[in-house]
Amino acid sequence: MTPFSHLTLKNKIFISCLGVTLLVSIIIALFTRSLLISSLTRELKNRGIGIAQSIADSSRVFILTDNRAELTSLAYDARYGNRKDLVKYLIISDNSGNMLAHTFTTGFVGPIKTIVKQQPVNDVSIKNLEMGPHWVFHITVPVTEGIYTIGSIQMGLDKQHIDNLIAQLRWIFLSFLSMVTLIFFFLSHRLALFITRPIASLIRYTDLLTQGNFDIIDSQSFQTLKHEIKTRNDEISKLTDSFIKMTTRLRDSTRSLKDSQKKYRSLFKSGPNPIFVVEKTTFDILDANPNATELFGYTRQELVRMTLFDLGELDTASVEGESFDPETRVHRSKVRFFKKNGDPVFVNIHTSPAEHAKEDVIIVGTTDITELVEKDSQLIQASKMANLEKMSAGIAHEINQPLNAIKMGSEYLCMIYEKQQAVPPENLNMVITEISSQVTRAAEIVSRLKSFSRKVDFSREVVNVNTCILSVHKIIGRQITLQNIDLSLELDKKIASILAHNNRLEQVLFNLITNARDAINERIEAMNLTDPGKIIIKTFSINDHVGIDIEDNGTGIDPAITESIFESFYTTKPMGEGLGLGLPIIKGIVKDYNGTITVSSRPGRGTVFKILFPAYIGSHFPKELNTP
Amino acid sequence: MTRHRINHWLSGALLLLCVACSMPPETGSVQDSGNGISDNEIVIGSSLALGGHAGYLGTQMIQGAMSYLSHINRQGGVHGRNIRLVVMDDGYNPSQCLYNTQQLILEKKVFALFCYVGTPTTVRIIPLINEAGIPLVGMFTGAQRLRQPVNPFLINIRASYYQETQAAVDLIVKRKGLTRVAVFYQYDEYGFDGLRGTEIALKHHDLVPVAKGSYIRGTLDVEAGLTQIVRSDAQAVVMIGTYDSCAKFIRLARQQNFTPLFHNVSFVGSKELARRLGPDGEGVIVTQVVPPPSSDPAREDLPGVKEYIRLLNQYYPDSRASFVGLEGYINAKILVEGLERSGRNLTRQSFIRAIKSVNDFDLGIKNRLSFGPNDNQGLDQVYYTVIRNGNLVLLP
Repeated sequence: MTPFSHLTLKNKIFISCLGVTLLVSIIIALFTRSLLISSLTRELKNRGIGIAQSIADSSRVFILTDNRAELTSLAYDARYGNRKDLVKYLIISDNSGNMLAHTFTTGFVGPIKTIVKQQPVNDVSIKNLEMGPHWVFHITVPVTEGIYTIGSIQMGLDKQHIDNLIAQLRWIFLSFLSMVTLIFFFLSHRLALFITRPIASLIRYTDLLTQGNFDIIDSQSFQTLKHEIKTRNDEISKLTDSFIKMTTRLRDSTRSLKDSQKKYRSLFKSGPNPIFVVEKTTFDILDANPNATELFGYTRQELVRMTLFDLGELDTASVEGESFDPETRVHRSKVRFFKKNGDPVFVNIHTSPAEHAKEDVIIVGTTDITELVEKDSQLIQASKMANLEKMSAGIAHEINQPLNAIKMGSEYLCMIYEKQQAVPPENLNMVITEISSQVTRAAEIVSRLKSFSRKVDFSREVVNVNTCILSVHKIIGRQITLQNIDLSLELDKKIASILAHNNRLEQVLFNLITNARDAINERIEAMNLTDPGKIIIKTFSINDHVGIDIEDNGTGIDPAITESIFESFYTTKPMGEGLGLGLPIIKGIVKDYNGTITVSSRPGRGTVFKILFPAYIGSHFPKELNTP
Repeated sequence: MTRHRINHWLSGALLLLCVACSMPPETGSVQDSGNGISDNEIVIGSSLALGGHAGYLGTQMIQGAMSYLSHINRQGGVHGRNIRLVVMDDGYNPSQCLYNTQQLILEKKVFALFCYVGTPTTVRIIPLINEAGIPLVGMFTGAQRLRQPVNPFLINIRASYYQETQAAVDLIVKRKGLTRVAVFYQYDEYGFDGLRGTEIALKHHDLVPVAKGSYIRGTLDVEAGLTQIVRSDAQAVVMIGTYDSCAKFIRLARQQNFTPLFHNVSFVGSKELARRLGPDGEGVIVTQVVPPPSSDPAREDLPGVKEYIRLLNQYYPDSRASFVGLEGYINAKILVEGLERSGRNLTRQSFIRAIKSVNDFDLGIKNRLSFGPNDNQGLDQVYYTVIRNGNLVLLP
C-alpha cells in the first residue's frame, strides 16, 4: 500500500495530471539544457565565424592597401553592429601578427597582444580565452589573397552574452512551463472534479441506499442528478445511468423481497405446522412459529433458549437430512417430542437448509402425527390379535400340555389320597416338582402372550434382536416344530443393539415366521412333498447395520408380485384367511425404526426376508430411553 | 559549471529586480582620471577635416579654437596646466575619424575630444565615446542624433540643424511668402538630418517639399538632384551640403536660369561658399549659429567677436575671420571654462558636471550660453546672413 493508494480518486487524477505535467516540464527543461543550449552556443559561434568571415572579405582590400582607418571602421561596424552584444572585440592583423585595426577603445585586455602576435593563422579556429573578468570564444579567421594568407580577423565572442541568452531562454522556458503547469493545475483540478463529482454523489446515494433509504430515488436531488447526466455522454454518465437503473431495480426487488418476506412470514406464522429455525451446527432454536409454541406449550422466549434436541428424540443425522425420503419428503418420521408438561408428541420432521440473518440455519418443519401413530398402534394391535386368533389353537395346545401334566400329577395325587396310600416320597417330590415346573411353563407362556398382545405406544428403546428372536421362538417354536417344520436359529452372539421396540419387533418376527410356516405348508400341500420344511433365522452385522434373515423353503413368491406384497390389502391368501395387512404393517414398523425390509424369492424353492436396522451406538437423548 | 549555472539563475533573478537601475556595462570600465592629465598639461584630442573637400571648415575651426587656447596657455594655462591640442586630419571621412578617435583615446590618451567637424564623422564615434566615457566638446554639426536622446558625454554648443531649417522655412514661407520649397541634401547623416528638420518645419505650415535632390558626400555629382529640383519649379531650395557641392549646384542652376531662393545652413562654410560663387552668390541666404564676424576688429561691435578677430590676427595672421572660426573660438572658450570650473583635481566626470553647470554665460556675442541637466546644447540663436557682393551680411 503506497501513500498514493490512500488518496481519493479526485486527488489521484489531480496528482497524476500534475505529475505528468511536471515530468514533461522537467524533460523539456533537460532537453533545453542539453540540446538547445549546446546548439545555441554552436549557432552563436557559427554566427561569430560568419561575421568574422564577412569582415575578412571586406577587409582584404584594406589590408592590402594598409588602410587602417577603413579597417578600424570595419572592426567597429562589427563591434557596434547588430551583434554588438555578442562581439566583445575584433582585431584585424596582418600575417606577421601586427595589429592593423582593433576595437579596443580604452585599452587592451588580457594577453590579447601576445595572442595576436603568436598566431600564424591558416585556418578557422576557436579558442577559449580569459579576458579580464570575462571569458570569450576567441575566433580566428584568416584573410587570404589567392592561396596565401595576408592577415587574420580575430574576434572575441562574449561568453557572458551567450550565457545571458541561455539564462534568458531558461527564464522564458521556466515561465512558460510554469504557466503550462499552472494551466494544467487548474485543468486537472477541473478534470478531477468533473470526473469525481458525479462519483461522489453516486457514493452519497449508495450510502443512503445501503441504509435502506430508497425514498431518495424520488427525491428532488436525485432527479436533478438524472437530468444532469443526460447532458453528458461519457463513461461517467453511463455509470450514473446504470446506477440509476440498478437503484430502481434494487428498489423494486427490495420491495418484492419485502412483500415475499411478508408472505413467508405470514406463512411461517399462520402455517398449520410448528416450524423451527435452527442454527446449523449447534441446533439452537433461533425462531419458532406460534403453532410451535401452541403445540409444545413453551413460550417463544423459552424455545429460543433451547436446542432442538431438548425437545425430542433426535440425532444430528436426522436433522441434517441424511435419511431424506424423497417420497414423503420427510426426513424423519414419528419422532417423539415432548410438550412442556411431559406429554409425548409424535411428529414428522421436514428439514431444509437455509440462510437466515447471514447464518446457516435449518428450517425444521414438524407435523403433528400423534393421532396417526395412535391409529397405527391400533391397527398393529388388531393385526396382532388376528394373528393370535389364528394361533390360538396352537397356543391353547401349548398351554394345555402343562395343564395336562398338572392334571395328571394332581389326579395321581388325588388317587393316592383316595386310596389312603402313602405317596412314596420320591414320587411326591417328582410330581410336585413337575407340577411346579409345568405351572411355571404355563405362566411363562401366558406372560409372553400377555406381553405380546399388549397394546404398546410408539416408542424406541435399546433392543437386542437376538432376545426378540428367542422370545418369539418360545411362543411359537414348539408349534412350528409340531407341524414338522425345522426352525433353526443362527444368531450372531456379538450382534449390536438397535433402537426399536421389543413388542413390535416380536410382532414382525412373529408375522414373518407364521408367513414362512404358511408358505411351507402350502408347498407341502401343493406338491405333496415329503421333505421337511425348514425355517432359518439368522442375525448378522453388516456396515453398522444389524441384519435379520428369515429364510424358508416354502412356495416362494412370484417375482411379478414381489413389488406388490408390501402394499396394503394385497394378499394371495384365500378370502377370509388374511386381511392383507400383514406385510405393509411390518414394513411400516421396520421403517419406523429406520430399517429396511427386502425380499428375495425363488418360486418353489423358498423365500428370504432380509431386515436391516441401523446399529445403535450412542444417543443424544438417553433420558427419553428410560421414560416408557 | 554548476557555479556558473547558479550565477546565471541568480543574475537572472537580479536582472528582474534591477531592470530599472541597470547600467550600460561600458560606464563601469571607465577610468576616472589619469587619462590625458599630467601635472602641467591637459591633452585634448581633435579629429577633423584639415584637407579635402571640407578642409576649409576644419582649418577655420581649429584656427579659431587654437587662437583662444594659445592665448590661455600663454597666460599660464588652466590651474597650472597647459592645454595641448592633438589634432588629426580625417578629411571628413567617417572611417578615418573613427580610426583617429581610437588613436586619440587609446594611444594619445587624451582627456577629452574637442571640435569635431561634420555630422557623419561625429555620429560615427558615438559608440567610442560611450565606451570610453570621454567627453566631446563642441561639434561643428547641428545633427539631432547628437542632441536627442541626451548623452552626457556630448556637449553641443551651437544651435541644431532642426533650428536652422526651422528658421530657414520660417524665412522662406513667412517672410518671403514662398510655398514651393525643394530640398537639396548630402546623402548621409548630415543631409538626412537637415531634410528631416526641413520637412518637420514645412509640416507646421502644412507644406511638403516639392522636390528632393541629393548628392554623395565627397563628390560633386549634383546634376541629377538639380534636374529634379529644376523640374519641380521650386521657389526656394533649402540646401544641406558642403560649400563645394552647394556652390556647384547654385552655379549650374544660375546657368540654367533657375533662380529660386537658395538657402544654406551654417555647415556649408558660408565664406568659402561666397568666395567660390563670386557674383553667382548674390542673394544666397545662409543661416548662421554665430554672429557674422567682420575681418576688421575695429568695425566690430560685439566684444566676443572682436576678441576672436584680435586673437586670430595675433596667432594666425594669414587667416581671415570666419563664422566657422568664431564657432571654434567659442568652443575653446567653453572648454576652458569647463576646465576652470573643474578645478585642479580634474576628472572627466567633474569636467562634465562643471560644463553642465555653465549657465547664462556671457561669450560677448549678445546671446548668452546656458546648459542644463537635460540641455546639452549651449546656444539656440540662428542668424540669417545673405551674400552681398561676396560678403556675408546680416539680413535686416
